[in-house]
Amino acid sequence: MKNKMRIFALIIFFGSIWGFSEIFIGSFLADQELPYGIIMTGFFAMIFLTLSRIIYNQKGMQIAIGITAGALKYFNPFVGGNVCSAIAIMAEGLVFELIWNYFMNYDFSQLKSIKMKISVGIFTSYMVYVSGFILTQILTPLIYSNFYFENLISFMPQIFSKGLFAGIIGGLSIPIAFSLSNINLSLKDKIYYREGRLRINRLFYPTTFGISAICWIIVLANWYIFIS
Amino acid sequence: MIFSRGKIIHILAISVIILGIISTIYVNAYKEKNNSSNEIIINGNSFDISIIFSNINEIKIITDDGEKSGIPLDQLIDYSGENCPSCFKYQIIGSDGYKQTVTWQDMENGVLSLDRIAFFPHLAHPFWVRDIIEIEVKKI
Repeated sequence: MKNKMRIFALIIFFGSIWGFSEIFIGSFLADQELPYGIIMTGFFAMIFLTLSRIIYNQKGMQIAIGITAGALKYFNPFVGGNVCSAIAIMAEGLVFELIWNYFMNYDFSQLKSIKMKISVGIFTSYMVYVSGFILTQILTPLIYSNFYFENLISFMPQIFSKGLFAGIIGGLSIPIAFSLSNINLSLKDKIYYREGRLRINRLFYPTTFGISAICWIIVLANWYIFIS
Repeated sequence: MIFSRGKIIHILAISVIILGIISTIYVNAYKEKNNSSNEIIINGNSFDISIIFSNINEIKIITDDGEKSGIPLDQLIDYSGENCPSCFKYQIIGSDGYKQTVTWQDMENGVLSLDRIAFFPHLAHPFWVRDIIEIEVKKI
């Protein structure tokens, strides 16, 4: 039961900070006319998904994180087409999950070398970005009018091309995520030894739920101000 | 198994990099080929952008990305000589190969800016095709 609660807290935490960064950092990058989709997937999504996977190696968790981030993104007041981008984020979580479930050992033993981390980063980030992009190109026309397969096919070279940069960023992000996982975050160990005594990290739930709540309150307040 | 999963992931990473490089070369070549012109093709006929803008009055529309100005897309289609504009759908094509297909009702709400971007205030941003080189008139 405690484990389930801990997993739930981490899902809400990582999903919320991913969704929050998609909305605020993503919108800022878009305003600066930077390729925000590539940066958001290649860096932020890869860091959050990989960290969550390393800290608590639980299958299915990244799908749930994607759903949480997508739900938060749905309330993004800054950009149109929120349903599509929300579903695309959920799909990104799913693709990450599928790749890591297939390729990773339970203890990530094959990820010891930097070469392997870079390869996993490139492939995962590329696939996550490309699949999210393709899904958006299918869903947006479907929701607003009609989907034309011909339009998607003619745009595939662009999607594959943009995926290259997401892949390269992902090749750097995953080694960074592994380095970050070595830092003793208050999220990491609920129970630990210090000075020969077993101690409980009492900051875990206040930190995870507190930060998540702040993310949701800021986004919902922005959304409310925008619609009213 | 011939390859371990570790080797497969290296092969897959190299494969996506090669796919990305080839696609980038293709996209840049396609863009370069289409960007050199100051014209826009509507239903197979070429029109000079500056002449179009001197013949059709610009309007301003409000979008979720602020105010945008341009010539109404429905007037552009009328200008191109289409007799029954509501009988067709319209495929808007960008210089990078990006395409979106919209209805006549969508065209009545959209504008084409001087820098060749189609803005549709009622549609999602993926419909806002940039660097438009052609508008193809298609049967519904």
